[in-house]
Amino acid sequence: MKHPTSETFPQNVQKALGDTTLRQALSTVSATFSQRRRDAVNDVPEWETLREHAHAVKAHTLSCLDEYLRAFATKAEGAGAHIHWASTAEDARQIITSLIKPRGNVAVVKSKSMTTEEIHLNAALETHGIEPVETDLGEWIIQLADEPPSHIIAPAIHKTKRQVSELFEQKLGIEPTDDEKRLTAAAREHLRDVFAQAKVGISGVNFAIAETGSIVIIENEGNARLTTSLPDMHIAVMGIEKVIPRLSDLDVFLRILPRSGTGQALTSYQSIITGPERGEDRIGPRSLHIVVLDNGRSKMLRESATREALACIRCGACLNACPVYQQIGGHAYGAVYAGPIGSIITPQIDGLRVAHHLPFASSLCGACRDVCPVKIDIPNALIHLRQHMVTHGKPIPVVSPARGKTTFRVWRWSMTSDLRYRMATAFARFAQRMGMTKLVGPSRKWGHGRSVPRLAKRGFRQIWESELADDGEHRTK
Amino acid sequence: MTERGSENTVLSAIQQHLSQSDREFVPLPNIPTRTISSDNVVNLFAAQVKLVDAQCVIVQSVDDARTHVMALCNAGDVQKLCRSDGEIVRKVVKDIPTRVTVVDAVENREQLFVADAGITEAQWGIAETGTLVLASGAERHRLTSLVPPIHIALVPASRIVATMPSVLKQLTGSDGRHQAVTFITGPSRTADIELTLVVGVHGPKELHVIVLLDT
Repeated sequence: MKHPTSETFPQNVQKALGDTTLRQALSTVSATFSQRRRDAVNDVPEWETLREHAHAVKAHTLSCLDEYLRAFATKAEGAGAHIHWASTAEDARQIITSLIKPRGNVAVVKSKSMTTEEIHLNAALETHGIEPVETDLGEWIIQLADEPPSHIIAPAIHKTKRQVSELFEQKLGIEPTDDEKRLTAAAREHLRDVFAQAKVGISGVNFAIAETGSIVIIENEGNARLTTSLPDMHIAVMGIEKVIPRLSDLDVFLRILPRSGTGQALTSYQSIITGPERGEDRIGPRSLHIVVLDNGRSKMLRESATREALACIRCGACLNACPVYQQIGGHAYGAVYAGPIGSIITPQIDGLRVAHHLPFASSLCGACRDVCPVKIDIPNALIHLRQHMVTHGKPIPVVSPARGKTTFRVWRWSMTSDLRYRMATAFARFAQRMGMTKLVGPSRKWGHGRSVPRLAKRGFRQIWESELADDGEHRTK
Repeated sequence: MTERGSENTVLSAIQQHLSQSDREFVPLPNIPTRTISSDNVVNLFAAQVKLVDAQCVIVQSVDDARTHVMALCNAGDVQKLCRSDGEIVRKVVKDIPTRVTVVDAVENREQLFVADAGITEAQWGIAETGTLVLASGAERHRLTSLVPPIHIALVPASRIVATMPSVLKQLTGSDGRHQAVTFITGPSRTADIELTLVVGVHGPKELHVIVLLDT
């Protein structure tokens, strides 16, 4: 299946806006996640202090990232892990393929990892005859359906349970059901057999601890624990920005991440893994390979606006808070990382040429910044990217600078004279009464998919003059 | 042990971009100290465990714990019980009636997939969140606490602490002794289908915590 790309963002948006099932699901998801987050945050009176602390830890780490990564690698190697450095997605794919391929036709399981989505690992492995099985329930559903994830926390949230039931009926031959317990049980049963055979487990990394060389994986389902315990080889893929200095720094991050993501005080499981199994344990993988990926991240370190975005801990709170995401969902962004934070990250990975729509896919309302648990100034970074595009003469979407200037000139002309303002509103009211509900002329293209707000029958000024202003007390003249 | 010889490419790219950046030095903040207002962490722990869809009882002795384990086995129709190699676990299952078959999960890994329940200890309990902390250097717990549909966990009251920082501090001091540390808060759960909570998706459906006052 051909997935939408960020290059076709305007068409993706049109498609999403016309999908009523999707919009229904999105409205429930955003409202539910936002409410759960609000409740969980309200339980912590010192929330603002935690955000500032987390921001400072990340800012410090990023300001000397090479030193912390080197310290992490040294410690992890000391514990027996292999560290692989990947500058590009292609490097990472090659490293992982060359680890698995010599082992022949082995079963490979995966737990949820945005970073492996980013490098399109599954497709690369499949060309070598290796078929990794996603084991997170949501990821598995979309793998069966051959679709990309639409939300960082809930990848299959655009699917209704009826759609999941139909999918399972078709792929697994189960009886159709509208009971999510039975759907989940079917997934457990099927994936247990897969786990029992698995020889290689691939996971992401939530945090890497420089002080101890440990990796930390956070989850609710237990599939990441199975993925990292049962097979004899564990491959963990992490971006360079995942490292934090000390094990004790986890306390703050574990207090903010689940609350911001799912509204839980803590998720069901956190695993802290330091090196492979050590012989006497006889439980856990004999080898641990950690792939450390750059893929466009290091250049984000140059300017403070984009450097800050590397502090992201992938909680998904900014997606749920964003009025744009709420309407169009994750797929429309045409990229692995959707929503406000994705609009900063995707142009760094795919290039501004491809992702040139994304920095403009925001109303800059600031809701994302307000909910971000590590206080990333997302609107500021989006403005920074827009400025960069304009000053470097890159083509920008939506309106040309000349047309933008003309629009605002006309706007100013009509708003700065009482007579012209009255004439404009009278004209607009007349046009609406004549049944004109869409924009015409040069604004027609911009107005496509947008509805024009209905003007009141009588303007405020008319009401004021005919009714309210008669009361002598309020007359200001 | 660096592979593929490209370490310098990633680290030198970072170094280069940082040296040309507008970075300001941000000091690493101190770890915040934490206190919670509770005069009885054991009761708080038990209450928090129950809040995350798990069960918790407080018993006096190893014998009482055994009685409770038997009650759980009867209620859950448990015939095969996998155990870890924890010291208290061994004491508790030692004289268990023979209608329950106890299997050493480390020696018989394949039995985990057909067992009805698994029993482990926890090296710490965190009262604030009702969290169990299992550390592999003290007990081989990883699969026993994960694969069977029921997980029974034994926690001596003396191992219950108020908040997470004291556990993290002790783990830092343990100098890599524990290859795998697992924090467990409630049963395995998912909400991936229409945001409806379902327990027992990949790990245990049921989590039963037994706090022992005397060990």
